[in-house]
Amino acid sequence: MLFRFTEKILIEQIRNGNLKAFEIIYREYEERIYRFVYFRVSNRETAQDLTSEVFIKILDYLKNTDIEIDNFCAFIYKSTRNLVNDFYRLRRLTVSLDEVREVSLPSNLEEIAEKNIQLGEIKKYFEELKPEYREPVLLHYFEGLSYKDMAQILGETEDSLKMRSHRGIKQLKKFLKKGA
Amino acid sequence: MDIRGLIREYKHLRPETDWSQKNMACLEDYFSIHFGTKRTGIFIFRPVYATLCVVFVIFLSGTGLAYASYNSNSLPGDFLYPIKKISEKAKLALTLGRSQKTVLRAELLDRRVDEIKILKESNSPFLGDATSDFQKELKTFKKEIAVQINPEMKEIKTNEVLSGKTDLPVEDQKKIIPYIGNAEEVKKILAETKELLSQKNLEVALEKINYLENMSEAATTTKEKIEIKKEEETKNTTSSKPKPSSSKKIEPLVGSVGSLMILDKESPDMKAPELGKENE
Repeated sequence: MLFRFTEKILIEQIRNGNLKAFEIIYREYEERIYRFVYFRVSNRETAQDLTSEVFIKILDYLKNTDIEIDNFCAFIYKSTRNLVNDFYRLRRLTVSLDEVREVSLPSNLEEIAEKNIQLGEIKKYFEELKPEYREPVLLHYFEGLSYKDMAQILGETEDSLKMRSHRGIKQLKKFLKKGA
Repeated sequence: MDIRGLIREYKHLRPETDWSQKNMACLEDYFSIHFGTKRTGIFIFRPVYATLCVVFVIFLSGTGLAYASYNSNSLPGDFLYPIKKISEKAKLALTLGRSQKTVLRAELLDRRVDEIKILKESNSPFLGDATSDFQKELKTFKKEIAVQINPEMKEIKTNEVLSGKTDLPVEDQKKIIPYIGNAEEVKKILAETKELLSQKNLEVALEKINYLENMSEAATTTKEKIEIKKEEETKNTTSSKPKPSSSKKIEPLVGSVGSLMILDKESPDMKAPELGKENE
């Protein structure tokens, strides 16, 4: 995990055209962003596309503005969340019956199936949670973000997020006990 | 399964290595196209190394050496100049409080003006880059003050950029040469701005910076005017003939830091008068 001021220095280096600095940031966040997106969209290819798009948008932002980013972690998660929301919004507008029927057959079916089972398991418990608990629990307990970062990402107060994530994790523990 | 098990399962959701490598390659290409990759200079390679650098700077500050590098007289183009810049950035990163950061930025801008003055006096080839950097830092400084006054500005700008609505100014066919004039006036304005920021009088501070920016815009001139001026000066020094009263009056290059001379090849208004006709 990078320190915040280390990230600030790396961001400055990226703005100066330092590819190595970008590689460090990418390695730090690639897996986390992919996981966060995959959990939301439940489709491997879509998760890959959206993850790439997040980093492209970040590069565009760094290229086109000089605004200092105080908290890069909150910034990248917020951008990811916005992109996923936009994806769903567009999908609602443009999905057709043909697209729904279309089935793509990836080559590595076994690995995909295994990952889907894992994802399915986790989602099964999350879907039982109240909607207002899901994101705070995911971001704090699964992604390991602080309440301060979450407040910036979700645009809410830390106290409200603390309360919802505590209640959410209690509920999740209950479901897990029941399911065991 | 318990919560830890569930979190462990979640963390196993990783991208495939193949895709990860291909994605990195694509992003590298994208980076090179848009940023013009530079791999030279002093930069931080690894997170641990980066953190150690900052810790080293903090440690050195106790011995006074970081103070020396932060306060060094190195100029753009000097070997130690990047160290000076890194020290400044580290100091900025370690300064707590937005208002204190903004006051520090005003100080750093003042340093840039001093550097530019020395570069100009020595006809340094790095003058153009130094003045461009000043322009950039001035813009950032202005935005920082504006965001402090209205925090929603940052949100709007962020969303605008992330939704792809950014339009870069098109500078095709234009050559921008930065120019510095009355540095003392700029230093005076920066000192006043710093004072206002210390008093948390952000609105007036922003007005001062706007004034500084407007000064630089008003002082825009063309390459042809400079060439005409140079020719006039050459003719005045070499010619014995009295100066004709109808000679074209050259507007003075109004001085302000970071004035830009925008050369527009296509603009008819900027067309140079034919040689010799100006003295008719």
